[in-house]
Amino acid sequence: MADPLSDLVATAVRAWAGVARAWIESANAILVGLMELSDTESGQFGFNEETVLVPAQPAACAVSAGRFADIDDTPLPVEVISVTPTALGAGVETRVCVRVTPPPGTASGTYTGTLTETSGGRCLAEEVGVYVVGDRAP
Amino acid sequence: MAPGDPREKGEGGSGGVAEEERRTHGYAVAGLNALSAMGEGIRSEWGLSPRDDAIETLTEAIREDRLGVPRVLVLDALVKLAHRRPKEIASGGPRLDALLLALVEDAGVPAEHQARAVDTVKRALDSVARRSVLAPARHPWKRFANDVKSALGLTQAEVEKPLCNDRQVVKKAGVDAIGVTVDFDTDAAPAQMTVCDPTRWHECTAAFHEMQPWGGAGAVDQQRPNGWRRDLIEKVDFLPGRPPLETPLRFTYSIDDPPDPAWIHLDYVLIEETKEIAVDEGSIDVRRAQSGRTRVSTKKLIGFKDEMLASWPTVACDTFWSDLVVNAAVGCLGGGAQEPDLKEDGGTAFMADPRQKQLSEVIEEAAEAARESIGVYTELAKQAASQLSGAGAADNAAWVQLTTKASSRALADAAKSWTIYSEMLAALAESPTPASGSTESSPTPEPPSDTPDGSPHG
Repeated sequence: MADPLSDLVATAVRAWAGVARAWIESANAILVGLMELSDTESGQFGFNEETVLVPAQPAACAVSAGRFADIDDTPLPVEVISVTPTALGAGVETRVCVRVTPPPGTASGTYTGTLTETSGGRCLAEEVGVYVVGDRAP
Repeated sequence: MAPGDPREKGEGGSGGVAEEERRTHGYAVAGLNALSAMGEGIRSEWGLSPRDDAIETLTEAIREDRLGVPRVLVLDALVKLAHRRPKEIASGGPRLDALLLALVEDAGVPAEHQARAVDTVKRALDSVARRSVLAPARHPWKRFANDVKSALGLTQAEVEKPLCNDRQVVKKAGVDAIGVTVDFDTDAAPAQMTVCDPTRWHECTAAFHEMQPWGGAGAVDQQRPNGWRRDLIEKVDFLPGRPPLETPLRFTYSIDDPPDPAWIHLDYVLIEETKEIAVDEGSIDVRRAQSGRTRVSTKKLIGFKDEMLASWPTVACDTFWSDLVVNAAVGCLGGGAQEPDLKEDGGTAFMADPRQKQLSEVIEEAAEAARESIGVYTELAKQAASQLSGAGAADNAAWVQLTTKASSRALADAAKSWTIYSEMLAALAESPTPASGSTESSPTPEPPSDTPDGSPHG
């Protein structure tokens, strides 16, 4: 059986928790009213950029974009493609973002290519697809 | 439709329902989403039916087993309404109750448990409506679906309904086009995913009409080694009282080794601007993943010239695009009313009140959050060490990125700690008085199977 002191303490803790929770809910309601909460379902972007997971590498290396071409095999100029980060650490998977700044005359569509080791050209990730918003239809 | 076709009616979906009915029910869902996104003011201006009429239309369709849209789109509209305009749910009254009852009945819940199930769904909507500044981590749909999956017998595909992301804005053709991305995984093989073939979009959706060839100058109609490229007119109809949007698009369909392809890909782009649309392009990619499941990734960039549509930034996610993608995700039909989980005594295992989270659960969540946080900081530390020892030690951009990641994580941790603290208070405040000397909270009692109205045991 519980002793009266334990019951009293438990009741007091519950009462305190109830009051504190009511205060937090009130504060939350006020903040929700003041802030315009985002209605976004996820933070993912999908145009002119794509993030891929590059598997862990045995040694640190620099990464760069290989050839990216659309379904008609029209390549993107290499200078319009950037990758971030450009350095991969050893033994860790890394999320690498491929960004494209399409030049005038680019056809809209999915451009598929690879990520390669900058020195040596070893393939680090293949079939990387980036949807590029161009200024014309293919 | 061939016998055994998954689009056949019978799984609570839309395939066997006449096109006009599908359209009507699509209008009702779009009406609810327009109300939640834009407010009551636009209703008459846009020719939308009042909220209660939309709810009644859907209720009647569910009762008569002829709902023309996946039920998950109806539930999604209710969740959006609760999340965006909590008062609309609070004032839903008997009509909303009737809709929830129809959904519960449709799920095959025994009559004696239906009131309890309706109550569970209402509480889950209330829970979504109580938005929290400090606990934004879990998406409203995920919270809701998890809370009602037993009460409504949701399938796993329905629980994992694709989420529609429309955060990105891309400037093109003088308009701010909205970038919409939706990704999901499915157990269906790539060959079964007809979502890549635009000539089949009209088969199950509420909004899409059958594609027609475009006959403009330079129209393309090519058969290619691994697919085709065609210019077609897409006709989309999602708001009553407005003519459908007719959009000329160039589709490029590519498929890997049919009949059992590892991937299918579709690119499409606007051929020429219309009165309403300045930008419309994107892709759908269906690909067998290493896990053996099929990954579906869709991208759509849409920019409206029409002022009314441009003023509704979530229009694609709220109407036609979710219609298409959700239909694809739930088997074209919207999944089915599987039998609710039954307990040994035959009662339905409804969820406990989501507000009454047990103290032990909260502590377990806190531990899990801490473990995750430690993992993230370990990863960041490894990256920092690698950065220090590597050739790019002076790479400012990389350091800024690392610092940003660490700060974001710290903020997220602070929010999570606060949320957990609040939940612990809730668990403490609602814990029953101990019958013995123990001060641990006792497990939340199962809802009694002999009190279907949810009234507490004496």
